[in-house]
Amino acid sequence: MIEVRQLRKEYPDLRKGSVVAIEDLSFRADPGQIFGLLGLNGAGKTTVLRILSTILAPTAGTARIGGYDVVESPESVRRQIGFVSNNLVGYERMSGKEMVAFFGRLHAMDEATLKSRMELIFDWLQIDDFKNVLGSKMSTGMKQKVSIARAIIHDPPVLIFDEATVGLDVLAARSLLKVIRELRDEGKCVIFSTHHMREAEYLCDHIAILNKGRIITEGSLESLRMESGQEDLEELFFQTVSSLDGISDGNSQVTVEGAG
Amino acid sequence: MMQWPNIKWIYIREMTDQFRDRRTLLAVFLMPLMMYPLIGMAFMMVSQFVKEHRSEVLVIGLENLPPEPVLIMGNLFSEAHAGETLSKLIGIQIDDASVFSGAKIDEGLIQQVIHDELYDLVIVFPEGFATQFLNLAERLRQSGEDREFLEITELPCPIVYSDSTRERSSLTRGRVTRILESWQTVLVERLFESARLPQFLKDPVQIESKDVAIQEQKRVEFLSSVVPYMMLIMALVGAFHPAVDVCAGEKERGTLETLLSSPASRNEIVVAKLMTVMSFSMTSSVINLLGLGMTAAFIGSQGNGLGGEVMQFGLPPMMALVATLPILIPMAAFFSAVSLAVATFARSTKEGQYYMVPMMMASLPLMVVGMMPGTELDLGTSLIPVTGMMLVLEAILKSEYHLAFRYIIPVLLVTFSCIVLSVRWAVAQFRNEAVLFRESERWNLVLLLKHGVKNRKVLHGSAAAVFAAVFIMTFRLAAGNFGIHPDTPEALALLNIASQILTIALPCVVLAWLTARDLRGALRLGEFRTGWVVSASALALVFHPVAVYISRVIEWLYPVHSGVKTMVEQAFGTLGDADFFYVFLMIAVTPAICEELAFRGYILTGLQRDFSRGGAVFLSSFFFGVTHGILQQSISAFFVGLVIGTIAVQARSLWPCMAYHLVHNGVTVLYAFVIEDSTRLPEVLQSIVTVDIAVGEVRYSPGAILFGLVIVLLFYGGIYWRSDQDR
Repeated sequence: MIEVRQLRKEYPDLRKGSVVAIEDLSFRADPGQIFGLLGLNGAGKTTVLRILSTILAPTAGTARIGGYDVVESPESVRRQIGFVSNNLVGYERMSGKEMVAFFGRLHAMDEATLKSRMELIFDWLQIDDFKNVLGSKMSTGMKQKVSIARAIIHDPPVLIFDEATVGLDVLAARSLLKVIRELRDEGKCVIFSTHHMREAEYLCDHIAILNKGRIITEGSLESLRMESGQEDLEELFFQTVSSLDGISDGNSQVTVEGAG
Repeated sequence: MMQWPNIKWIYIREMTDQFRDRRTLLAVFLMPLMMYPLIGMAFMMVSQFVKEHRSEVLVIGLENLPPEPVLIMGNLFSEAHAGETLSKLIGIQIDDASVFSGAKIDEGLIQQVIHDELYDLVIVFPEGFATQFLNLAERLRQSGEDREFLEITELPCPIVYSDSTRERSSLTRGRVTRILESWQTVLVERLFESARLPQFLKDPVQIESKDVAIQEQKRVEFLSSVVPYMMLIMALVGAFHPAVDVCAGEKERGTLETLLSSPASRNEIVVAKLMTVMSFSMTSSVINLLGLGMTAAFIGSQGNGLGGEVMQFGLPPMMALVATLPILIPMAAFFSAVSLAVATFARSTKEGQYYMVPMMMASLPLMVVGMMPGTELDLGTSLIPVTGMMLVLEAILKSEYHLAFRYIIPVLLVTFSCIVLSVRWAVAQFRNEAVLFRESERWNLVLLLKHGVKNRKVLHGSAAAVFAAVFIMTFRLAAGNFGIHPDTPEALALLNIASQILTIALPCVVLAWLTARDLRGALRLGEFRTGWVVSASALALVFHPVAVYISRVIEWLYPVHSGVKTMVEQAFGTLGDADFFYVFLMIAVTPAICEELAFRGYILTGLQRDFSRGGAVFLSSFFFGVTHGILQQSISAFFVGLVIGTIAVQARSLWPCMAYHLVHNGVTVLYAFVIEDSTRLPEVLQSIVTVDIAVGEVRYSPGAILFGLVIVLLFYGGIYWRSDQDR
């Protein structure tokens, strides 16, 4: 479903000329699978997901979603994906219902389908109570639900979550993770980035650990545990990253270059 | 392929969003409808105040007034001179407390009472005024025909003290002056009577002026010139706020990513946003016009009560107002696209608002040119963006449809090219990742500069280049000759040379040293290659006819204002007497070094870092042109700049540019100061060029111009071909 090959992205930088955000990145993710991108802040997670959602163009390499190349046919790629970013602010002067309908219409849904699909999703995510509340008056949890509704309104086969749990309280985060699992069970291909190891442990079928723009290790949770002999993902992560960077203990500062 | 439904949905969303924003509604709809009536009311209240305000006047030396004609009766000015209304508005205090009496008037004390606001005005009638006046009248009466004996003695004059910085005092001064003038006329009449001279001799030659303007046109004159200005300003303001909201606002709210990952393409998003901004731009313009019109109509209807022709307001005919609407569309499109491109650059709405002022500053001069009394709609002005549009609007409002029709095509052509360019700019901004996802950094100028100098790269970038250009433009125009007016032409030349070095070359060399590690590279002081230098000099010679022809065309399109001519004449006229050496140094050698170091050296090099070659050459030539100050010179300098810039980029060295510049300016100096007349030219050249400096003219034969043009085209063709080969 998602196929990334030798992806590279450089950003122009006023001081250094250019900064490499991700380099030589390759992975694939299949339907019915939750693919976790794990990494510290600034490791390049957002860059990868922005390239997959055609917001940024890669400097080199290819990324294909559902057989479409993100550079060559971005419009077709966009019809295949739903993107939930970590920024939940949304349109302040629109209600949840209007926001979801707006994106449904951009996906060329006819009004009847849109209406029935909205009813279904609003019921599933329990949005009905606040569907007419304006964005500026919504709580973070409400915004998160509307964001998801907006992303899945056109029933895309691929869903991209960029640090979607940031800023959510425990309850809201829990319910989001539950929703993501349900989406996976429906057969969606989900790609999910986070720096919370527990979330990844709970959720992901397949994990790639990203550091300074490169995948340093990749595999299913079990295979990663087997390889390293570490039960705890957080320890595993810390070991892998520190063995590369020469970090001695948890208090050390990790400086990471590049954009988030 | 654009998907119109996408554009429609985004447009509807943006419009709904804007309409739900109270600030937008307030700024676009309510403000204009409230503001103008309020201004109108304030205006009327002020004039009412002026009409009714009482003045307090102190009169000193009342006893020195002749009994006839009567000026002051009791504590009021006589109604014969002041009229009933005015007489009652001025209270008079006669100085009987003898504070001021005595032979000598104490002016300090008078100043004091005015400054202390005890009185608005003080009149002093000097001692002996009445006696001497009566004496003069009597002598005139007795002198008969034989006036030779009459020794004319001047009468002591009454003095009026007032304070022009105090509103009430100057108002009173105007009133009192009117009364005193009327009284004075009667006094003079008395003297004429005594001398038995006919009264008309007081003012034997009179000039009568008659205004043949049609009443209707006179009424609309004021609004016809103000309305286009208001329409355009409001179209710009009305475009800018929504533009900031739909671009920077979307970034700020984090909704941009979601929109960009939706099926709508970038082009569709830009078009929809542009339509939104345009809708607001036009609405704002029309509503402002409505507010202004209503207010004008209201004040106009009250006009008679306010007295005088100053208040002649009138609305242009309805038909003309409606005819301006179709013209508003391209103008709104232009302003909207520019605003959108500028607003896209901003990271937040707050940052977006900061860009408003520079945008205004850039477009105001173009609008003001159209408002200036001397500017008329012709081919030249119609080719200037915004100005041409404004003049067409003005012509329509004055019902001069034939004039508007004649120039509407060039105006629309220019406007549409501007629209295309600005839309392309907006789309490019929207496709530029660096612009869309600019990371927010904290700004600290000192730190940034320190950091910049410490971590300067091999070569500087376009920001430093633009800074240098702005610095030069500002200081070049502000400094001029440092306000010094030297006596000898040689000193003038030396002063000008010093000014060029200090305001053009030095800043760039210092900046290059501060911002780039490779000083020579930053100033493009590369290898000296004789081949390039010789070719550039030859090209300058060959292109000179074309350059001269371009200046002639420009001067035909935009004739130099006589005032500007006089100014230049005054500033540099004496150079004609200077030694040739000095003139050559000032006009040919120094600019070739200083201007090249700056424009093709530092500025072009910096621009090339962030722009394509063509873009960098274009921009550097634009700056080069603007520094020349006088519009006509600026335009021809721009064209010459394009050629030299191309040479700089191709040769990767400044030496050929200096050679080109030296030859170009040198030839001009030679014509003006050495040859002066074609007859002094060798015969071979006489068929090519006619020189007659007495009338300030150098003319090349059409063959020479054509040849120059062909060579330059070949030059550019060659470059294009080469770059094509490289690819």
